[in-house]
Amino acid sequence: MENIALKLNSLDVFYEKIPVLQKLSMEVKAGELVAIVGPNGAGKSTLLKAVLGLVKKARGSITIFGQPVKKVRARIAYVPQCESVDWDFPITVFDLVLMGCFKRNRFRLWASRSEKQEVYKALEEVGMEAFLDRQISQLSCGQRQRAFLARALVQKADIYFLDEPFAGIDAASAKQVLQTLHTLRDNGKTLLVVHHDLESVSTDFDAVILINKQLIGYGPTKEMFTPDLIKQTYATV
Amino acid sequence: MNPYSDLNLFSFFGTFFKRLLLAFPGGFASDELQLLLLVGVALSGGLVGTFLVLRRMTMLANALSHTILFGIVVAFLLLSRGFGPLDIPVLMVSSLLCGLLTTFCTNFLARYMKLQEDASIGLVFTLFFALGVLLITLYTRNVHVGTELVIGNTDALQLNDLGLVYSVLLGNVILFVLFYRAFAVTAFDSYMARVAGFSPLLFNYLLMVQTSLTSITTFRAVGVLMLLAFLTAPVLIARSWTDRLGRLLLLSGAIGALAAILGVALSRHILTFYGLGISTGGLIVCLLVLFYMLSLTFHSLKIRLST
Amino acid sequence: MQLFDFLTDPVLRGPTIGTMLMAVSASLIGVLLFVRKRSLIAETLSHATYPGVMIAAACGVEHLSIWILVAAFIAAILGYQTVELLQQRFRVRTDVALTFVLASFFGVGVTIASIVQHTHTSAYRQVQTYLFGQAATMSDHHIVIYSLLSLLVISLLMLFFRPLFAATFDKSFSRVVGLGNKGIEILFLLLVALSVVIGIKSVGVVLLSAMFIAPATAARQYTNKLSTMFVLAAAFGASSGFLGSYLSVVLSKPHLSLPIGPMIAIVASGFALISLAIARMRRVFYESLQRS
Repeated sequence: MENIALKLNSLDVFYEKIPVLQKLSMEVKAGELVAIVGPNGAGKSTLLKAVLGLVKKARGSITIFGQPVKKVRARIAYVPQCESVDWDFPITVFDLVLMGCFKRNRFRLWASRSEKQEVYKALEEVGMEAFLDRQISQLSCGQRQRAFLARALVQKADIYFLDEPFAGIDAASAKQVLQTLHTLRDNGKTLLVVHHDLESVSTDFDAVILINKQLIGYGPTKEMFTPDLIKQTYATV
Repeated sequence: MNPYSDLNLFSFFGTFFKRLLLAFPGGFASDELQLLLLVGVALSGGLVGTFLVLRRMTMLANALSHTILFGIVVAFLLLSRGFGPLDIPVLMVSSLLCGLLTTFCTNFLARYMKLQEDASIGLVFTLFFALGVLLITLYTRNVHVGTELVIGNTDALQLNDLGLVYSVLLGNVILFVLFYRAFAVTAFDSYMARVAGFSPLLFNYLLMVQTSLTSITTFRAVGVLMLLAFLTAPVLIARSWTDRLGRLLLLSGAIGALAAILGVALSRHILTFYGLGISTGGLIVCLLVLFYMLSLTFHSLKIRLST
Repeated sequence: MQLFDFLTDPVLRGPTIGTMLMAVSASLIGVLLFVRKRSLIAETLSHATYPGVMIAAACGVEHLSIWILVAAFIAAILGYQTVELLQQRFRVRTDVALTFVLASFFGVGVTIASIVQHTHTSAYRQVQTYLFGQAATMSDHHIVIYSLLSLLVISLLMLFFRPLFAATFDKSFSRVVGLGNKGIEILFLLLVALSVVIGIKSVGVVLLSAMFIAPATAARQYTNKLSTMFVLAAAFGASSGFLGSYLSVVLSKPHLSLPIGPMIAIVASGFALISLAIARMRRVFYESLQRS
């Protein structure tokens, strides 16, 4: 098992000539649940998107498990923020989670029996078995997040990127999500989570990335999540 | 005898101005009729088009250009059972009703039937257009009439048409001047508009009415589809040069008028030299496209030079 | 005249089967456009084919039908690329870009048509029928071409169903996981252009968008699954094609022939409106159930 899940070397991201991320360099250890924290506009979402290739990076190198991102796409899962999808789309929860199988079997038309099993298992894991045939517009925000998480589970990825998975969801869903993340971590997966609730960072997360356009600190929560560094992160630049 | 036969581009303008100074002896020649009419159409188009684009109502105008066929056909069936000399008040009323009908049906499908907006618009105009074509074929047995409505026929214009065009233009100008503030505010910010006491909805309907009336004046000359070019192209061109509403309106009108003038002159020129009777309406659209491409090129150059 | 005759009679079967096949391809692609909320691009693209077909006429080649289809295909692609260019590079809003491309391409087409009208009169007349469609003159030859093209559209849709689904619903997922976003966009463009081209002979340039919008609209009212939507839309499309052809023949009187194109559009729209009404009644019914 590789040691370093994600390595960034002097990553610069611009948005219309305004720097959003500057000279980010870090080596994120594998097998940990990592929180990415920082104030609004710090570039947390942008960091995720730049790594995943959803936003043009200006300079710098990004490797995942020691390889360029495009070579390891089958090992990456991404759970975006709640709003970024068209909720009117004719898609049921089952179809949504099934998408996780698409990379492995691109040209199949119907779900095979084993694929169906995987979907059911993933939905059970997140507590959404009852919603199998529900259209996604009929779900609450928390249920949607769990459905997207189930899709990520089906992907059987090795590294997971989640953008504010706990934002605006009910407590029961949040508990479920956290449980699932911990299970994944226990199975040796690496998880990077953009998180806004500072109180839960020290209790729930193994490591933390403090970021405000630049890297303020990365390391185990016990060491890095100190009042000084937090103040530094949230000080207006 | 048409004073413009066998003229080239330059002598066209020479003759035009000579006749202008003499107050057009012998009445308008057909070329002059075309030119004046198309300039009027272009001016109305530039004015109304600016607001349509700003108010995000171009798709409604698109829909209207199709439903208007239906309206025209129904109007005539109810009256004369024929397609003889076109009765102007009838046309105006039918186009007005069409504009309202289009807006109403689209809103009905979108709000009441919960159909997404693009599909609502598309469904409405294709249905009405199909009904219109059906009625035309049923009662005139001649699809050419349909083609003419779609494409127009600049050579068949008459003095009546000129009066119609300029009355509508005058109406547009008066309305825009009278309600300038209201239109400006509703064009840019409906929330502010409501706070200020103007109803965006009312002005949307008013704009649709103006579009309908403008469409009815143009369909004879350039057909319903090319009207859309007059509504969108000048604004697109003007937009990259100015942001201010007043200038947008003036510039759009001017660009459209310029294209119209050049178009008529050029079409005469081509007839003289190549013996080809090109569609004047089509030619004007080509010129507008050319202007747009030139404008984009100059604009990019300007940006590149200033950085 | 029996219903079945429409599928077998040598004169009737061309238009009937031809329009059914056309309607199926258009409906299927229409579903993709519908869920992307881009139904109106079909209208712009179908009008954009007009200059293409006129240029084909101007070139005065043999086997005009094939070249017309090719020219229409190229013109549709050019139209699509122009819309994309205006939107991405020049920040023009979608609705304005669509309207402008529609009007300008069509205007260019009209200009070329006015020249071709006199220089290649017979070719002109042949091509002018594409404005409103001339399904009635479709022969077995056309059935073969359209079957092949429609089969192509259907097979491509089935083969690439999963990547298309992913790219349509969740572009970022598609990109992150590596399902071939760029390739899918090109495939999508080709499918749209192809289905536009298949349709213009039967329904004509102006009414073609009805076949993209109406069946998809109808289908959406009955299902929440994309796969089912495809099947239903194809069914509605084929029925519209069949019924449209049937009604245009059966309702015609000796001195009065109803054109097929508009009939198909009207039938298709009818299905859509009825389905919308049913959906509304269903909604109202369920709401009243919940209240009680």
